[in-house]
Amino acid sequence: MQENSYIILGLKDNATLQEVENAYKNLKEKYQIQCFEEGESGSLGAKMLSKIKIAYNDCIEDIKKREIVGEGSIYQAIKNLIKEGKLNEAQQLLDDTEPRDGEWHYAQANIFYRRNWFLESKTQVEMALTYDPNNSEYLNTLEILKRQQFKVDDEVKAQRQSRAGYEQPREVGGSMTSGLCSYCASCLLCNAICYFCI
Amino acid sequence: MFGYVIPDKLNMFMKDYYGYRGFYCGLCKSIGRRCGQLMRIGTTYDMTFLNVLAHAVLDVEMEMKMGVCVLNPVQKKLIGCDDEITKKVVDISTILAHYKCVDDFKDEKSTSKKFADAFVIKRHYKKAKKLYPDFDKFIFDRYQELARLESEKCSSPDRVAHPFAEIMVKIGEVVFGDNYQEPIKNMMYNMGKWVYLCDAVDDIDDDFKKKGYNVFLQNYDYKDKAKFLQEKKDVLEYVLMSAYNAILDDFDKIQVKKYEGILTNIIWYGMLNNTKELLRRSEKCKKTRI
Repeated sequence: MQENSYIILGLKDNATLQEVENAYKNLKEKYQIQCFEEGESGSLGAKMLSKIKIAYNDCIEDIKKREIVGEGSIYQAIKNLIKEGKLNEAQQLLDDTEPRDGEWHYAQANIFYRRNWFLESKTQVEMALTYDPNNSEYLNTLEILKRQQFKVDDEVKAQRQSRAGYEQPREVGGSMTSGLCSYCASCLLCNAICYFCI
Repeated sequence: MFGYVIPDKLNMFMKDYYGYRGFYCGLCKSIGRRCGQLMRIGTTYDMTFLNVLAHAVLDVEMEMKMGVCVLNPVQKKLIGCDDEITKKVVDISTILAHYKCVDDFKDEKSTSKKFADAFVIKRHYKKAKKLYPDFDKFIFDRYQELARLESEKCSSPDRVAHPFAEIMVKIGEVVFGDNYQEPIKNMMYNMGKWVYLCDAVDDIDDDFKKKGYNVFLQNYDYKDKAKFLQEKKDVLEYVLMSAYNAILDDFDKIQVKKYEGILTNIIWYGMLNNTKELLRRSEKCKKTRI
């Protein structure tokens, strides 16, 4: 959005939709007449006509965004959208948001997480942490994302019950053979020691 | 992109093994009846898994009969009968086979695939397309999206696996209909992603030699597969295991009354073994036989 879209229309930043439409209508009439004048003034009128059209579109978009965001901050609105599962809307809102600071990257990480894009999400949290290295919320999320890789190996082992007669998942081939080998090895060792004793 | 969702035969109960084989043979025979004998080559473990999952979630008993197969005409074994769900799965697998052949021809210029598609698959594909026009359109669009990402040389595994994962979600929509709960949907998404990425890791050597696109080749100086597996270990383990763990979590939330053993064996053991194997070995995955 242009910085001065509201100013071009002669309005304040918190103008309502009605005000924007009225102002645009008035200015449009004014410049439409002006652009038929001869010389400098006519070309200026034509220029202004396209300028206010862009400003008008910007203002409408801004007002729509303000409606979604409501009273709270933009990140709160994004959070709510994510909660409702409207990820595309949340992404769009976030794309329009500047500056891209820690909070921005954290919101992006949340959207990616809901999309099951774990690697992208982790990257975004790490970027957020470069802005704010001690933020406990970011650190917690990073921990959760890192754990996503190891769930099957560690913590869940204790929680997951057997299902349909199968034991909880583990590295079946590998762990079994290696277990067997260590057992064999210890047997052989015992045997050898016994022989030595005799 | 097929053949990764397999059971762990060595750690399977006999009842589950025979059940699974019944499903597999039933699907194969069903393809034969619906699309002709040549198409039976295209029977895949992934589609068998889908068939089992569909019967389990929709709580439909698969009727099994003793019968013989052309590959083993002497010994009788359990073979699943045709039912509505199996027919749906057959049509889906025909449509997927068509797009896979078209895609392979585009990527690898594999003429055998082109012939297979033109002479065998295409007419059955047209029949299936008439039954599921929306589904066909959706897959067409996703493959276009995939082609776009590939031409942009996308280097993010999450992004590039997204179209294929969405295809899996859509497949679930066709099969499960009104019973499509959130955990199943999520599981299908991650399964699609997992399959795509497994395939990318498995095929990296071929892609490098043929100068094809592979997401893991982007921004990476590839020498040989063993070195690649070692150097890229962190990323590979993370993307594959995070998707796998998400599948596990969603599977915990899915309650089924039938065929739980088969599903548990595949998801808990088969897929995990496959992931670990893929990350360990520099050769391509062996094809298992049931």
